[in-house]
Amino acid sequence: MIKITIEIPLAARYCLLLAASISIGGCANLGVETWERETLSQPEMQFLEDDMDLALDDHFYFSKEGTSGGRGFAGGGCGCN
Amino acid sequence: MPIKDIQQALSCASCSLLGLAAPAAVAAEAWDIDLGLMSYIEQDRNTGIEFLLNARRELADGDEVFVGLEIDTLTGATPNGATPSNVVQTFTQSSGDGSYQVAAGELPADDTHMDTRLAVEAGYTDQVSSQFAIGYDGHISMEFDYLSFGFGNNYQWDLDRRNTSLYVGIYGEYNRVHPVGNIPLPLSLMTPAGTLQNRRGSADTRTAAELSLGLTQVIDRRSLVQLRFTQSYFEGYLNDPYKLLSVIDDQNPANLGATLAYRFENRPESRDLSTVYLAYKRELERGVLDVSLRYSSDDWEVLASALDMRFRYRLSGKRYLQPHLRWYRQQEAEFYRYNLVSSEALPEYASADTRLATFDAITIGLKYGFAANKEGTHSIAAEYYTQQGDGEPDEAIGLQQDQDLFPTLNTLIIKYLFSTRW
Repeated sequence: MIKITIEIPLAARYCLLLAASISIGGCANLGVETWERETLSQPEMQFLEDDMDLALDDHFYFSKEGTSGGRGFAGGGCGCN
Repeated sequence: MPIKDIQQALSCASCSLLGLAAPAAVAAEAWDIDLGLMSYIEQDRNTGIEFLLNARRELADGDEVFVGLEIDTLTGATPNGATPSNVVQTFTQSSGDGSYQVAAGELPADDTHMDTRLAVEAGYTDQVSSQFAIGYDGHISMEFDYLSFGFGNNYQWDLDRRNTSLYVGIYGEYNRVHPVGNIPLPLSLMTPAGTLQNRRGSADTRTAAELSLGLTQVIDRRSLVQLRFTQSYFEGYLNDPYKLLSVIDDQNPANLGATLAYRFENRPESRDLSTVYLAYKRELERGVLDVSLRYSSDDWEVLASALDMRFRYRLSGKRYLQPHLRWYRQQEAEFYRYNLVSSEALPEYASADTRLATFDAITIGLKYGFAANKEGTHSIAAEYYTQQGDGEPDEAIGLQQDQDLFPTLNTLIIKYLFSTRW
């Protein structure tokens, strides 16, 4: 029998718990109707609204720190790390 | 508001964070242009300037095309990995033809490099249906000592009245490293200028692959959350060909802590990195709160956490202030060390690159945005980044105890961003 062990970092466990809570513990209560999106449709409510600012940040941090990614690709296309 | 604009806005309300190819709020038959300029100044080290230009256009059938240009340049003194000493230190330039000196007590840094990078990106999103899109993107990046090609493919599904978005993305990258002076032999000695240099070839390569799974969920009328898992794998030449480690005397009582020699670093030829990213946006009475948490771990034993918070505080007349706070903590790679010592056998892997060290970093910034007229929106930001590690580690030997082995990195960052429609 092959035993497979998966180690999940502590923070990832909390994220999984949050995601599970969202999907299981109140799925029917999440979300809005089409006519209730007046706030959500605003540019500042988009995760990509500041995408150029975030791209500049990510490139700077990629060249100064040992990890990157999450939002985008963890590699950098440059020789800076 | 035209129906097509409403549909676009609804789609954007549950977009997941993508690298490049996510559908944005783009008017049909018009280009959305974004321009970014960043300059950063590190105290006693480098100065960098970066320019970004992006253009995005929605096509008649709802598909979208994207192109981008990136230019950045780096000048100044880059730490070479050696530790400060109580005497003047002489280092051979990467070319092997010349040398440079560092004063006693100063962090050794190479100021003979000027690095300029040019990158071009392009992407296409195929809006297969109102609830399913496929994205493609690629880039070419060139420096005088580095060449990179990348390609990505992603899929996005909008479910449950677009309250839920699922994302799957894959990305691959091929990189060629051809450093000045050629590839150093791993952990070989740095030899004096004008003598035979320890090199093994002019170039080497490395590849990267990434799988990303994401979920974006609208919580209520004023908030949404995003969760993303990313698995990245890197293979090939992962060393920094310009980084050294000092060899410190730990055997001669009259010379403890003195630098005897320098060796080039060596890192494993693969790296397996896992990242969990969680982001939350919430509309409050006076603005929008944006909080994200990223946690990374890899088989180099680098563990890192990043907490990033921004609050867009609305002012009158489409202006805003946005304070920014970021906290980052990193635990060192298992092969990271301040230096080698003369009494020990050479390890298989070793690096003194502080980017793989244990440190805390904080960013504090403020951004001001405004719409000057109908032509577009502007924003300017000033940020302060500081990176602090342990400059007096327990393993400091003799003369090293009089030195700061991890000088704090202080950086001023200025950004200007402009968006318009054309």
